[in-house]
Amino acid sequence: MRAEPIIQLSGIHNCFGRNVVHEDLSLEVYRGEILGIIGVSGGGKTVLLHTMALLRRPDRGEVRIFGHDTRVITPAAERRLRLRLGFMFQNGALFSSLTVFENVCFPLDEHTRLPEELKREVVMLKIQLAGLETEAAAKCPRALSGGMVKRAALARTLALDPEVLFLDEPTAGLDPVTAGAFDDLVVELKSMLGLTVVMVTHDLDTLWSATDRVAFLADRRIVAVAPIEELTKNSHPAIAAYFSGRRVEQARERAWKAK
Amino acid sequence: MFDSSATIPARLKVDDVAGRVLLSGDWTVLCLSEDVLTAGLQMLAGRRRVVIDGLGIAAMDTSGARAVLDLSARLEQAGIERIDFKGFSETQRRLLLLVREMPAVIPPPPEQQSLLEHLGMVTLAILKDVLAYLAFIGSLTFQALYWLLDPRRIRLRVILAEIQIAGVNALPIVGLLSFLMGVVIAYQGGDPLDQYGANIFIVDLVGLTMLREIAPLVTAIIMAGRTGSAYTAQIGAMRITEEVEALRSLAIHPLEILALPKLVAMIVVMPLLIVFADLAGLVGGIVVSDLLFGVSLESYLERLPQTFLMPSSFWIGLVKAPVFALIITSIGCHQGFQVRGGAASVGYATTRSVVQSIFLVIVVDALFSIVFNTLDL
Repeated sequence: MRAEPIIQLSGIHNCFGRNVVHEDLSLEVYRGEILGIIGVSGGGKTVLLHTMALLRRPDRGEVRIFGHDTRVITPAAERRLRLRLGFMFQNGALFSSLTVFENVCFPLDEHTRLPEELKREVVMLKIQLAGLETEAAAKCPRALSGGMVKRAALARTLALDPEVLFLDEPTAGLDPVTAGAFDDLVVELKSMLGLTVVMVTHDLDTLWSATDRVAFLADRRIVAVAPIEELTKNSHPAIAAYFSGRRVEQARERAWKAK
Repeated sequence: MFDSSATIPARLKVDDVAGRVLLSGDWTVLCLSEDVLTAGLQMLAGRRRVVIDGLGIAAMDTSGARAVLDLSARLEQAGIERIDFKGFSETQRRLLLLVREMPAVIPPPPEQQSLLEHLGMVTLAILKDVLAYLAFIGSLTFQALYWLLDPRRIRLRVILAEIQIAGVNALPIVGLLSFLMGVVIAYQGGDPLDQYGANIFIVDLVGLTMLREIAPLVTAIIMAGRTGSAYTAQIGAMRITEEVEALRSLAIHPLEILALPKLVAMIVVMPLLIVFADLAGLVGGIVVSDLLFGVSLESYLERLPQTFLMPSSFWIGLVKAPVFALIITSIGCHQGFQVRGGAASVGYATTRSVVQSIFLVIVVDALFSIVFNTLDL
């Protein structure tokens, strides 16, 4: 399944002051895949995700999304592109002054001309798709548990039916059961809605159960992109170190048993 | 569909002869609009069988699927017995099935409060706020007593830093505004006095109003807007990020480190700022009376100690200082600790903090006036 690339990064440089985060980084994301991005903490994974999602302009390098070069794009075209990308932030980034329902409804209010009734139905559809109860819709973000915040954030991200979903540590801080359910949800949504998913994660179970390919970020660039089984056999020292711990073995065993 | 950003608006065409509803265009969230979804359906009323034809649909997402299902529900309501879906692709059918599985429950609308209920809630909220403020003052007093019992715990470094921020950094703005107030008072009052040939009484006018009322009040209002609001915002943001709870978990009372040093700093700083404001205001008066009303610097300085109600005006201005400091700091910190939830709450608390402290400062100032008047000071 080598579909067309929908996101192409080439020669990306990102730095904060003297701290160079990415140097000559290249990566391609194909339509319909779930791509995981891993690497050690502080290695610039979130920055990479922001660069892909047009939230950060790289200091040098080219970002092509759906074939458009984002350096020479008109504001109107950029706006249309953004509507096709959904970003789920690490801590949810729900608007704290709005209820969950209003959070999900917000992008619909801003960008669509749906009739009111259909809009309400669509909001509830997204909330249920994300696996939240109907009652949660009327709650404020601060009244939600960590797992519910993630689901509400996912519902808002899905509001405009984006083609690409960026997830920044979607299962961090969740218990294994909730995290597993979240992984299944992402896979299910991807197959049903034909999404492309790019996720940064530290969760080994997620890597084994949800991803099609995994990109390893080390030494300021992507050193390998491969399905997880292949990647674990990679001899690059950083990758070998990453996968040498006991936790990895356990995760692999769990994944095998699940299959 | 993939490369072109161009979209085709969703269309619905009713063929009432054949009993078909023809759908075309992009049935996606961005392309659906109200007028499309309701057009011409009444023409089909009375038919037994209707076909919904999706052959012309270029793209469909979940919102589009919901709209199609709503369409069929509306036809069903109009009394049509059999509705067939034709021309939908395999993925579109799966999407329709998925969306149909999700029940279209709409949450109950938020409860509307009656006017009376609202009034009651607001009253209770105010009472609760007053009680919480009293509790806060009590707790602050306890912490202050602990400090007095165990002076080693006094955080001198923090207090000095607060003095720098609240006091030293405020000197320019307090000085400038008081100077301008002195100028204005001398300028406004000088004209009528000049007409009576009583120019020298400009000194009395400026001295009395500045030292007694304007300098303390201007300083307090600046401090409420500049420092009190900063206290609220700082503590409020720390509440949201759970830093206040972090202090508590490290066995440090939040008031001891967040409120008490601020209070001590403000009590130290307020009188000093008021004296500075006094001087700046008097200088403003001197400039105007010297330049416009022919009262020279020497006669101004000579007159000043002999003016009406002097030096008691100076001391009265200073007596107000610690009271104003207490009001501004306690309300600023209290409102900060009241923050619950999110970013909007910080803005709300900051507004309340500034409004309440300026209000209380002026009320207390009026009380002071009455008390000093009856005491003949």
